[in-house]
Amino acid sequence: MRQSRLMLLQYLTGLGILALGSLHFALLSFAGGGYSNAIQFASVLSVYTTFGVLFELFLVFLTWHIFYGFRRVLCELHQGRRYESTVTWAMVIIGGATFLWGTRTILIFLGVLH
Amino acid sequence: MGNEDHSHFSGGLTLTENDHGSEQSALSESTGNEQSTVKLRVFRYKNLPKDDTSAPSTSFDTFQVPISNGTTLLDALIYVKEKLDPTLTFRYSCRMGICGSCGVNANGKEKLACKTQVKDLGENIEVRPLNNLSLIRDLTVDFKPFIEKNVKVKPYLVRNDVDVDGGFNREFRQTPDELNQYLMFANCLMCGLCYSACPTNATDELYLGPQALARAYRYIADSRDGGQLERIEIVDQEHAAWSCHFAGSCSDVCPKGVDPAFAIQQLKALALRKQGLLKRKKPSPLVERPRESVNPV
Repeated sequence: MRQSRLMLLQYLTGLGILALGSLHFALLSFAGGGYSNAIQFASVLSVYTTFGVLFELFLVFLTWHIFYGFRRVLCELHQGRRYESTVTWAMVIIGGATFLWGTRTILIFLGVLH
Repeated sequence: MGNEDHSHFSGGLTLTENDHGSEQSALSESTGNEQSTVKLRVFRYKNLPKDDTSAPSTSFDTFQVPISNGTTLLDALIYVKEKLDPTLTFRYSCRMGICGSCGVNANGKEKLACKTQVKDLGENIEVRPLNNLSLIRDLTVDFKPFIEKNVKVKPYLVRNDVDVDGGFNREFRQTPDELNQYLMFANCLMCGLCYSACPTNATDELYLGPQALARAYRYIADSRDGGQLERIEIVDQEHAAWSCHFAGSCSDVCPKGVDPAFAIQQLKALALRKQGLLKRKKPSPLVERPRESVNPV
């Protein structure tokens, strides 16, 4: 894939993280009337279950942005076809595992998995 | 870094200090200007055989050089070579900021030695070779990877509709406004100062570098060129335009006022929208041949 497409994804996911991260912070801090109420277990669970899809989207953005960004940093520090291929696959595997684990957590609080 | 035989400048080598020329007090030619002396600390490098451990391969030599108004750094280096140490090695040619041969790192910043007044550098001057290129000897570096990267971006007019090779002697039509789109980038001397100053080149040896990318933009912005898509494909790869972190040091050190950092950001924008814009662009037509006429006078 061309670098411009990949970097466009990087920029868009960065903006998405900013937007969803702000929403995440706002919901968990002030939802349900004030900070002290918002951090109660029931309020947190309510936010998670109501906005489960957004959390999954947040996870997608974060996973791409972090692991593609990390790959680029590593490939600027050292070069070589074998090295870059190893870094790419390492990021795919670790990023994939992170995404699956995060998705599992979201599915648990949504009640889909037990 | 291209040539494996050459030690890299920052290779952790032992340095020694030698003093030369303190007895020298005046230029042999009388210039009529007020004269003073500067201390020139010059990086030295010898590509010794690997098994030769008799002397360190790198060192700094210090020279006392008399200067007057108008003495350039290149004049000072030539003075050292002619009067104090004929083994000092450095490149130069035109002495007037046109050929781009005499690029060095003076007091931590890349400069053309011939365009740099010694008096602007203070009394203690440290001269090093350009960064990010392999050393050959003293202040001379190997430009091979730099030139190869320039060639990669097709630094010439690409025309698929006209055969521009061989005996081509026609002109393409171009307005002054179209000329101004790339004129600044056509001033590049290929001196390598931007390549040396670039922090991305310092860690990524495959990165095309500011010079090659600015050269790519110079031809993409040229209304006579028809190879924009080919060139965008080249700069829209890994270790090319998107590796630029926009530090701007390339534009800062350019002795001809070229702005490679701007060119690279333009390349990024073109890479993102190339399908829409570049395909519609038609290169300039040929100028019609003037009709041959007989002068009646």
